[in-house]
Amino acid sequence: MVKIEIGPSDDGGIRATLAGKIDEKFDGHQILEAAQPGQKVTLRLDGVRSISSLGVRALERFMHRLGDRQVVLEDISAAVANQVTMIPNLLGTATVKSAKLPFVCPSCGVEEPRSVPYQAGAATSHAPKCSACGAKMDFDGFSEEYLPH
Amino acid sequence: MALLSTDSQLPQHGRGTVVTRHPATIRRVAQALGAVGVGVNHALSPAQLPKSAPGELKVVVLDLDVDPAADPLGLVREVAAFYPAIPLVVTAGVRAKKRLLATLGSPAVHHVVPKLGGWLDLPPEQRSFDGPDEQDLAVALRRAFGSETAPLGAQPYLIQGFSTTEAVVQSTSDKDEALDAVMALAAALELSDEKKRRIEVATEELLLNAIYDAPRDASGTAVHAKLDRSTPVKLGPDQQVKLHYGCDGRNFVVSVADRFGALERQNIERSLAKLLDPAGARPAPGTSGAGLGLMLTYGAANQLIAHAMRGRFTEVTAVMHVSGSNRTALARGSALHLYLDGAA
Repeated sequence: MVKIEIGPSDDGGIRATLAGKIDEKFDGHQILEAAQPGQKVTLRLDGVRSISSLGVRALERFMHRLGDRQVVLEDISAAVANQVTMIPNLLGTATVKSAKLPFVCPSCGVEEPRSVPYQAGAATSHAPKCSACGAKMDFDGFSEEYLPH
Repeated sequence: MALLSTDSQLPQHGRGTVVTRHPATIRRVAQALGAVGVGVNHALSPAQLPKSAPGELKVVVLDLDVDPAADPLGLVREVAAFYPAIPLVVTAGVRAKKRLLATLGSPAVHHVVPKLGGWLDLPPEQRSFDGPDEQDLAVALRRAFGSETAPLGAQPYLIQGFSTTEAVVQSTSDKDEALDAVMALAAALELSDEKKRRIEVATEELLLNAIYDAPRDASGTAVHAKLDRSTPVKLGPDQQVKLHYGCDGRNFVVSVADRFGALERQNIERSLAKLLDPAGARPAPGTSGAGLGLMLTYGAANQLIAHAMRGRFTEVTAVMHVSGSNRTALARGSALHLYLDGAA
């Protein structure tokens, strides 16, 4: 079940935050109803914890129904990022700006999801600093499982 | 150093031929074979395979890294032609995912097993080609050399003595309850979000396949094949699905069995071939049978085990490595073990 919060964005478009699991029940109709034709749609997806195979179909259908609107995805979660590496067409023509991926601090052991640009090698080139001790964090995964390569 | 001398103290139940150039691979494979009482012959390439007495050879382990530039399916076919009807275990560390999956086109291949650290196309300084996990391989071979004609549940992939939970699933709402119970165990173990996600994906997709893809009528026709998977389904008493799951601290294992035995090798090949398509997988609209679920399960699991006996049962088991970091689990890659129609 996905919870959706919708509001205006600073650029005149709408901004929707999705959280939960994308499954067969997801259709995103609230977003489709809120977005005017031609209006930019920004989707924040760091709260999406899982996508089932039925959710893959539902998400692809939703992205297709957004039509020719400009769609920007921010902070796609590890769940979304991993699916996109296996199903590159999943997000249609949307632009993925960033991904929120799991990092671990080698110094103090803190684990937390952190945002990096959605680009090849970003988990290393843009590795964040630990919020607890300031050390450079390690990506708890492999780039090719979550980022374009 | 008697790396290859596994024939002295072990109970002998035949021999296995290992085709590799790498000592680490020989060691790990010899350990796995020795653990199930099988001695080791060694060959450096498919061109140097030793002859064996009738009935002596039980399995061939082919390391595709004997020639990283060669067509992997060509290597497999060369070995399969020399040893017809002998099951093959294929392993690799160089471009392992693509090269291993490419060998599924040969029916001789029953097991694809990545070398530890070789699954992803990492920079050379980060790679480690230490051979396949000997314990996982031994467990797979034990099942292959056995004569099991019934589902085994999660137990073979857990340390002996650890309990498993069984649930019967007879409807889509049962599926949701069962999934919640599995995830409650994962949450109680305080697994990381990514480990929990992998467990959730594997459990849900295996249950969906068992509910929507497996059921057949008397003529063998898939009764839910044209049904949209968002349509609720209630299974009859003779169609019930059994779920087993458990964790021993190292592996989290989910096993789903149906009563139809309809899973065929070509279904698996077709599904996993999507991972080799440069354009990527695409979901089919609406109905079941697209194979997307099996592909997602394979991507989530460190081992995927399919055991089917036509008309009797299909059991698909996903083993997720949960000790250590998410990165550690991902680096182990995804092995595939096929026991179809009772064959090893």
